[in-house]
Amino acid sequence: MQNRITQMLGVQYPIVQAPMGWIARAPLASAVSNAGGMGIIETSSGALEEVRAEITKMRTLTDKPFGVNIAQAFVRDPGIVDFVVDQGIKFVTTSAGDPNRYCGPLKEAGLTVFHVVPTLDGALKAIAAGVDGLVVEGGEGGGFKNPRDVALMVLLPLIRSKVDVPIIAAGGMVCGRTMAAAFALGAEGIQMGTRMVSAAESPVHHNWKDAIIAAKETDTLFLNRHGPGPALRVLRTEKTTALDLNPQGDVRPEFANIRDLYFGGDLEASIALTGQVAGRIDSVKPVKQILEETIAEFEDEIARLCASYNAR
Amino acid sequence: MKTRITELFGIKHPIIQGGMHYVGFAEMAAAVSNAGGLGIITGLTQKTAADLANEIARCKDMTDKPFGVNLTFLPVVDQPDYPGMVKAIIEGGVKVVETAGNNPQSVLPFLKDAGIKVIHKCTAVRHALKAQAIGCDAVSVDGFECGGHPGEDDIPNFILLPRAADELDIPFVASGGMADGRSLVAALALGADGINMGTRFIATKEAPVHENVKQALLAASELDTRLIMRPFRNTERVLTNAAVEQLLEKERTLGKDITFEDIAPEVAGVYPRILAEGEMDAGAWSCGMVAGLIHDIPTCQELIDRIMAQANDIIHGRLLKLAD
Repeated sequence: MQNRITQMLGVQYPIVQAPMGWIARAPLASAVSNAGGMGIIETSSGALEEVRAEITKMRTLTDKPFGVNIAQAFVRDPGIVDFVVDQGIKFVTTSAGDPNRYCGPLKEAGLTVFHVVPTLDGALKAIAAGVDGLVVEGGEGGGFKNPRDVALMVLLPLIRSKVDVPIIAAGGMVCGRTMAAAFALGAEGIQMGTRMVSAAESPVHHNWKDAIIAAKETDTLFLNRHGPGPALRVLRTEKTTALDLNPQGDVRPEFANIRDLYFGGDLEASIALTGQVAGRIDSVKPVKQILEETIAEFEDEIARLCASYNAR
Repeated sequence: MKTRITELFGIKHPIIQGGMHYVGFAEMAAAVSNAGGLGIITGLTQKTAADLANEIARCKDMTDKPFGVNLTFLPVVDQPDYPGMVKAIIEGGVKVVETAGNNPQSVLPFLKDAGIKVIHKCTAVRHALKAQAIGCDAVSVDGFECGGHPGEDDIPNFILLPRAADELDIPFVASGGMADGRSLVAALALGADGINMGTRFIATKEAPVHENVKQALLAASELDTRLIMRPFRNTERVLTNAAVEQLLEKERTLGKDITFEDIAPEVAGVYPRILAEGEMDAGAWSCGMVAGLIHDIPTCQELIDRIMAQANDIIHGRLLKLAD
């Protein structure tokens, strides 16, 4: 399959792995790149020295393209631009901040830049900043969110009708059917987060993967829709249920112990950022299998639509 | 386009105009049915069973195509005259009933005996399975995007539709966020057999509502709906306005102590004032997130024709090219 995303990113499949903090490191990202998708290294952990080592590791694990996400709210060091340019990175997604901040310098250095947007207004600002493409993220997805969440079913076609750049759909993406639906709405690529957290190569503790597999579609919570503090979509646990009932203001201190949850397997130690798509994940699979099944199902779904539905 | 829904209801296109309070009059339903979709009269907008019988007769004067009636089962003590309305539906020769709200089990045998097809509106997979189990012919799966009552689970259609497709045997339509040929193809790809549109049909030439209502939809962005009455576990997605923001402020400040009397000024009896009189700040009225995708006021025929043409182009053009 060839389209603008595969061509711009130099990948076999228009499937991108989301940049989950601490998780989107070399073992997972290299598995995605080697399988024909776009692996991304995170910076939202803020641990830039570790990130630098992960990028070095990537060079030994894959000769395929990979990217870096600059999570602007977490990376305050303006040296981040030189950092990614020096590492020879060709593809960057920027998120959680003003798209004007890094787009210019990154583009000048010859990189391809996509900005993550949760609204039409955000998309138009990113276009004005000169980005090459957009990651359009619906309220379905896990992690830090715009408090006024818009479902992908509305957000994707809305932004598609107002911009010309290629769009990667994020939130709810897990299989060929969701990919076909996203493409019908105007996306040319998809990004998977929770599906990648629960992949075989994901470094997180099996307790979290087991929780994703056990989760129904109703087992995430959208915290702080009315503030205070940043909005989040998270796995439903005792801790997050309490935070939902009694919002505690800034939840960021809760992330001090995130590694005890992600890698220690204590689901009550912190907050597990998880998308609603957890309700559609029922097994741990290798990344290569996830990508190949998604593409095969995507093609089957299009064939089914063509065979079943003739509007004339 | 033939789908299990078009076959079930005997309609040309897999597009249903869901029941909407003070919108689903005979003019609306007839316009949609004449355009090849399934128009629906809203039962409870009619004051009495006799009024409903009259509305059904008016619709029959305007179309010879199939149309339906919506019956919403409310959790209230003073129940509307459901037996009388069912009688009016059966005697009026209506072919389809869209049920919503509480379990429709009490009226189902009467409708089925009369040969009427029943489609039940559901906001959760477990409700859809229940509807299937009690003998509904189809369900309308309403994602979190939808205007009106999205339930309390908050599952948008990108998640809810494939979950429903995996579990259900009976046909279902996607409701919530549906606006055009793109949404139709997305819904089909996620396993639905058609779409239900509410808000999009309000912004049509034939919709029997005040012009101010249509203009409010054109002006709305994707961020302009709000969820009200969440503390009552009777959540409604509405278009924001001064009254809605005032209501939300009451919900915030009164917290768990809030009672229905506190919000009555913004919700009780406001529908005719808004939809018929065009008093846009009179209170809260149901509106889907899809308002952000509405930019014009076509006729129902123009709207449905272009949805079908666009869907065909996407499936047999853009998507087919990718899979080759």
